[in-house]
Amino acid sequence: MRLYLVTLGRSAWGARWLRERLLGTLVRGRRVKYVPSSRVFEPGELDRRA
Amino acid sequence: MSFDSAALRADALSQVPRILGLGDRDADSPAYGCFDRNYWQYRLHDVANARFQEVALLLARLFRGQDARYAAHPKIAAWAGAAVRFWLNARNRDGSVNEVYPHERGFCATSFSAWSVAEAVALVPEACPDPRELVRTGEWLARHDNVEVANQQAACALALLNIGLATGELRFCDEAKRKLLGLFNRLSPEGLLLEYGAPDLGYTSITLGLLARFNRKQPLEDICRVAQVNLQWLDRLVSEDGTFDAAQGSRRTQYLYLYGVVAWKHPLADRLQRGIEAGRVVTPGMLDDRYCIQLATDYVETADVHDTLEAPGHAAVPGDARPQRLGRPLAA
Repeated sequence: MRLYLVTLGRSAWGARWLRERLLGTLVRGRRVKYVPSSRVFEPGELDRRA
Repeated sequence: MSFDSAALRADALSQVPRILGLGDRDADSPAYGCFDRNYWQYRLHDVANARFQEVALLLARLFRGQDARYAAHPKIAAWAGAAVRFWLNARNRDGSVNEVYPHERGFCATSFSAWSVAEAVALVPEACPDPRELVRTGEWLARHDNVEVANQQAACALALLNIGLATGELRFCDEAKRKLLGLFNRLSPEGLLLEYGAPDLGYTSITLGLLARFNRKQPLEDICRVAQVNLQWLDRLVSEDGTFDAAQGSRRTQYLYLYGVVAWKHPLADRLQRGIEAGRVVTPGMLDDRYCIQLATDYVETADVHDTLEAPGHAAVPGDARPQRLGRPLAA
């Protein structure tokens, strides 16, 4: 089973299917969707006056 | 010992913005509290690596610490709590956790992350209002061992001790001592801690730190004896400028953790700090995201324990206060 999943994961389609459909649904309970990049920590986030 | 805890703490704190950026800090996000950025942000992994959640301990230390940017800051406490909550929810049904693939049930990941989370909960109780949520992880750890790898076994023992103290269930504290007994029965003939059959400098330093933390909570003669032998071994292999030949260790680890060295007030600490100041020793900023968190946490805790031991009126090296013999059950 693991070998099958690894083989499947090495093909572009298989990797996407595994990530976006099977595991994305089973493991996370939702499909992968686009999110904006960044969201790094900014010092202002800890501004106590905010 | 001329050890400068402020310099060590500053080195760790320089990495905190980077580490905070690894976390999903959006309270409305389903992955709120997840610090595996490859999972929640880049979607490169389908399973969140539980070891990133060890950041909870660093955040809890920052919340209880002295640095004005983070001390007693409600957001730091909230993110520590979110990291703990994500870890609790990401566990398998039996209490174990995964690093790479679903249902992996990793002994290393479960031991280290459980120790960090339980310690964070001890420091910031609101991070987990019901510590009994930790019980099933304690039960899983009690059923599993990896005596071939000393650092993992020591982490398991410390996790069990922390869970026992958090939940008030002494059976976990007794299991913790049993884990240490298993570890100490597998030392080399010289008394060295073994990683896959041979000692390793970096992992020995990690294990010494775990044993020192254990000893501060539950002093045991056996821990002090093992620590002294292994500290002497490290002392022989680390040069005056704090560098060492990683190839001499079974796992060729390139970094050293400081907590155990400082907690036992070993002069090796001064040499390592000279190496840090000279840029010749691997520090948290040189490590990848995965290991930066743990080494930065070690630096912060090392600075804290140094200040505690050097505070006026604090005379005892951990474990010097009436240590017990290993094998005597706590519950008796």
